[in-house]
Amino acid sequence: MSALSSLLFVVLFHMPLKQTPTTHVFDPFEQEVESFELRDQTIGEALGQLNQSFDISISIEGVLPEEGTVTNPKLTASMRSVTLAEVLDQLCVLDTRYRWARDGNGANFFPKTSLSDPNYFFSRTLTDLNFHDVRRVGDAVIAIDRQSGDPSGGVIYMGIGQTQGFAEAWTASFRNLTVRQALNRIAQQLGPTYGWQIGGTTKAKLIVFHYKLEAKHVNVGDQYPYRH
Amino acid sequence: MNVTSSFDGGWTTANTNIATVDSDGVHTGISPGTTTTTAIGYLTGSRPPPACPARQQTATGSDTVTPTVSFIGGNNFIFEGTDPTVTNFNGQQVQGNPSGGTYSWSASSTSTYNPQVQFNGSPSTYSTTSGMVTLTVDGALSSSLLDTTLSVGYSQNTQSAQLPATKGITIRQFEYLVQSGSIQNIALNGPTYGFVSNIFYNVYTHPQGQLVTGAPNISVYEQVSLGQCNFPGPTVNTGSGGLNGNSQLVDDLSIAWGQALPPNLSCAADQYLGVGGFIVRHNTINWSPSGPTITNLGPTS
Repeated sequence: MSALSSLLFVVLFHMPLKQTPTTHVFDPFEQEVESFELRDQTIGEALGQLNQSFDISISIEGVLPEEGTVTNPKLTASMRSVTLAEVLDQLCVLDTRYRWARDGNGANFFPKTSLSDPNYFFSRTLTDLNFHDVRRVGDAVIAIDRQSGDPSGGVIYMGIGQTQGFAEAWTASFRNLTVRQALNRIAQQLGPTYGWQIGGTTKAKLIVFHYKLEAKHVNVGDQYPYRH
Repeated sequence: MNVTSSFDGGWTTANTNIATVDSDGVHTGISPGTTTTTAIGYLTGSRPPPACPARQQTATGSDTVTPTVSFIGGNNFIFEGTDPTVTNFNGQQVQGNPSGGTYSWSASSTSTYNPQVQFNGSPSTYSTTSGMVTLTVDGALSSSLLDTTLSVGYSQNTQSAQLPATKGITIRQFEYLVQSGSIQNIALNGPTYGFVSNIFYNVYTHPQGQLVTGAPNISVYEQVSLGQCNFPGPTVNTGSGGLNGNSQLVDDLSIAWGQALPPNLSCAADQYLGVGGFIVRHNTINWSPSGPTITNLGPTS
């Protein structure tokens, strides 16, 4: 049994059972989480568990050091009968380095310090972003980086797969998006639960897109979950 | 004395829906069942003239028509696991003659891992009226090539095939990757700088390190772990496809920079790659201004 799986972490939830009037619009962030407990887990691990249980998009801009590695605090908490949005709020209370915001049916987690940084890469505005017959996610990321005009910018993209990206060539134009929103559009084009995550260092940012955040680490010989 | 020719033209069967017989006594099964053949001939004596007058002789015997069954499709291997992109390659097909009967599938293996083959999700012996089934094996593989035997019996109209169809197969597990050629770097020289870098891997299975061929679109998986990467949590990149048309895993490790790559650019990542449901490679990747380099942490065989 891995160290991670030995940790007590239970997510119990249920979907609303009552049919509401036709005017009701389903809000994925208002889904009820019946019970949420975590013990000695990082915010990333908590979000991975949530993403395995809920079909939403979660993207994380990691708190990055200039170099070396960061130590993510371990969180312990217990919540009962709360909404998914309230769980996300509480995670930002427990790990005060982060804030989160909605973009449609997706959640973006980002460093709190970025709110006061006018040059923060993912908050930069792209006045005119055009994708023309883009197939590779890496090409779309390169286009965004180019449009950002960040003199110290740059990303390292990691991806695998036969097409390494979109099922069909993608053509789209956007105005006045932030880099964060633009990356969200790429994720949405990949699929409804896709998100992205930033790691590395402030000098060399790594970006990966994911179908869902994973809840546990794998090792050689392990079986990995297939997509349903 | 051979008197067969004396019966030429005198052959009949009682039920031509089960079996027919031609003027020379050659039988043809029409459908499974039992009927009777009657042969009428006129025998004469063998002594020289004056010969005895010809005498009518009648012989009867029973005919039993049984169906037959044989394999007509499927590889001589299956892939271990339950990933649906893998089980797509695990189909086997038999045909019974005449059609319309019932097949009974079973498997036996001499593998030391004791694999348990399932047929459309059911254990041996599995009965179905379809000649096509999907095999799955979870948690065990062959220990040598063709060490597992499939056996398919067939019955139709209360008659069973005298011999089952049999086929030897290998249960293959995705095991390791071998990089194919050098990293392919396409330089970006402005307005974006960096590289579009692709790494191609050939995929191998056990037993006996067999190269995977003819298996496009099998799922691939990547997890970039904690450690040097500074990701807040575990992550996965499933891409949108699988193995390419050459049954290779393609990894994209591109760098895009708004200006010339800084000379002190340095970044490392801990990467796990998977194929067809199994993690088959652990890499450390290091990026520098000259592109990515890969250190294989195994497995290598």
